[in-house]
Amino acid sequence: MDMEINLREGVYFVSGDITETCELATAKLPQGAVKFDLSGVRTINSCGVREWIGWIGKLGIQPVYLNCPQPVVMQFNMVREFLSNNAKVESFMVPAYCQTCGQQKNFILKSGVDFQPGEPLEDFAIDKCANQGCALDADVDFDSYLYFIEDLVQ
Amino acid sequence: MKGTRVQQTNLVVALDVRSELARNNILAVLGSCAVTLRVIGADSSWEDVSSLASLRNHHAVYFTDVIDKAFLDSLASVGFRKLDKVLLVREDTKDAVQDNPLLVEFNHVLSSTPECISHQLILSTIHKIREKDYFGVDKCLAFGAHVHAFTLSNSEERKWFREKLFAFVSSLEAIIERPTDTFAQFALEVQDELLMNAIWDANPARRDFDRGGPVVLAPHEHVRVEWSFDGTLLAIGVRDPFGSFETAVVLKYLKYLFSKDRKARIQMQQDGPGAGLGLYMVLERLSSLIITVEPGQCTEVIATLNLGQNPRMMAKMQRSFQYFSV
Repeated sequence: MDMEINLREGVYFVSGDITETCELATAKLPQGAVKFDLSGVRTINSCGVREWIGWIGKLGIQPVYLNCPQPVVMQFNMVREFLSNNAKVESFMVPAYCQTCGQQKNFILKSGVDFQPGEPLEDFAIDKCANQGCALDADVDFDSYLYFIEDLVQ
Repeated sequence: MKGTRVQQTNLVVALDVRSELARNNILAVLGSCAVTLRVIGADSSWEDVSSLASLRNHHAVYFTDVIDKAFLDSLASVGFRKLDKVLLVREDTKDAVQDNPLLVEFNHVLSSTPECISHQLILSTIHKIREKDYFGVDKCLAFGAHVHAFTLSNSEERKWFREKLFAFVSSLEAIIERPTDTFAQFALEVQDELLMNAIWDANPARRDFDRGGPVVLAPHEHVRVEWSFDGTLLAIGVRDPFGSFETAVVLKYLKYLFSKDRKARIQMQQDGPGAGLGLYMVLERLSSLIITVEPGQCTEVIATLNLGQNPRMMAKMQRSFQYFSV
C-alpha cells in the first residue's frame, strides 16, 4: 500500500506504508506548525522513518501529529529523532480487544486530557462496554508503549 | 526402495538445569532424541561429561538455566569438537541474565517458564545439530506446516511481498480467533527489514548504495523468502547468498534483547551502525530470532511470532535468540 498524503481542512492525512521510496519531497507544505493525521499509516520501516525525519528537518516545520496508530507510536518509542523539531503529539491510539465478545476498539488518548507531555503515564483505564463479562483490555504493553510521552516537549 | 542415509552427528547433551521442573521437562523431551545424555549433578559428574570430549567427532550441547562462570571456563577447557551452549531464561531468572556480560558466551538463549519449556525450540535445536540440517522455516515449526516459498529478484518486489504477507496473516484470523491487525503490522515490518538487510546490508557490493531507487538483483544475489504457520507460530525466513552476518553484530543483538534498561536500549539503537536500526526494530516485533550463517555462502534470518499469545503478552515476554554458525 503506497503512502499517500492528502490535505483536508488544514490537516495532512497520511496513509499506507512509509518506506524509503515514499516521495515526500513532492508534497508542498506551509511553514510553521503543520498538522498530520497519521491514523491511516499501516507500517513504517527503518528507512521510512529516516526519510520522514530528514524531510521534516529539511522543511523546518513543527509537526503536530494526530491520531497516531500503533506502528507510529512504536517508532516514537524507538527513534528519538521522530519527535525532534519540537514535534507535538496531539493524540495517539491505544488498541484494545475483548476476548469475551471479540470487540476491537482503538482508544484515542489526547494531550492535556489523558496525558501530559513530558510527564510519565504508567497506565490508562480502559472503559469496559455494557456487555456482561466484558474483558476489553489494551492490546499493548504500557511499559514500552507509553514511554515516549516522557520525551515530548511541554 | 533404498532409503537415503543421513550422516548424523554424535551428540552429547549435558544437562545442568537447576530447576527440577524444568529439568524433568527437558528430560522428557530429550528422551525421544538419539543423543548421549548426561545430567550433571544427578547421574553424572562434570568429569564424566568432560571425558566424553575425548571421543572422536562428538558435538556437545550444554543446557543450563544459570550462568556459572566457573562452569563455562571448565567447558571451554574441555575441547569438544564443537560446543553449543543453551541458556534457558525464565521470568524468575531473567534478572540474573539481563546485562550479564557472560550472556555472550551462549549462542542459544531460550525463553521459558518453569511449566512450559519451548519443546519446539529444544527439539529443533537438537534436530538441526544432529542432522546437520539447519536451513528452512519448517525446522522451527510443528511438523507438516505448509511452507510458502518465494524468490525475490528485484527490490521493487518488496511491495508485492508486503501485500501477499498481509493477506496471508489476515487469513489466519479464523484460526487464531482474534483480529490479526497488529500481527500483520509486525509481520510486514519484520519481513521488510529482513529483506532490506538481505538486499543491501548483507551484500558487500551494495552495502553503501542509495536505497531510494530500484535494484535488480543478479541471479547470484537472489533472496529466498519463506513463510509458514503451524497453528500457533508464524515463521518468516529470509535467506541471502552472502553469509556475511558478523558475530559482533549477533552479540550486540543479544545484549540488546537482554538489557534491563530501556533507555540504554534506545541508546544502543542510536549507536548501531549500518543495519542497526532495522534489525533492532525486528527484535521488538517477534517472539524468537534464529540466525544461521554459513560463512561466505548463506545467511538465513528467521523471525517467529507467537500468534497464540495476545500482542500485549508478546511484547512483555522475553524473546528467544539462537545463532548457528555452520
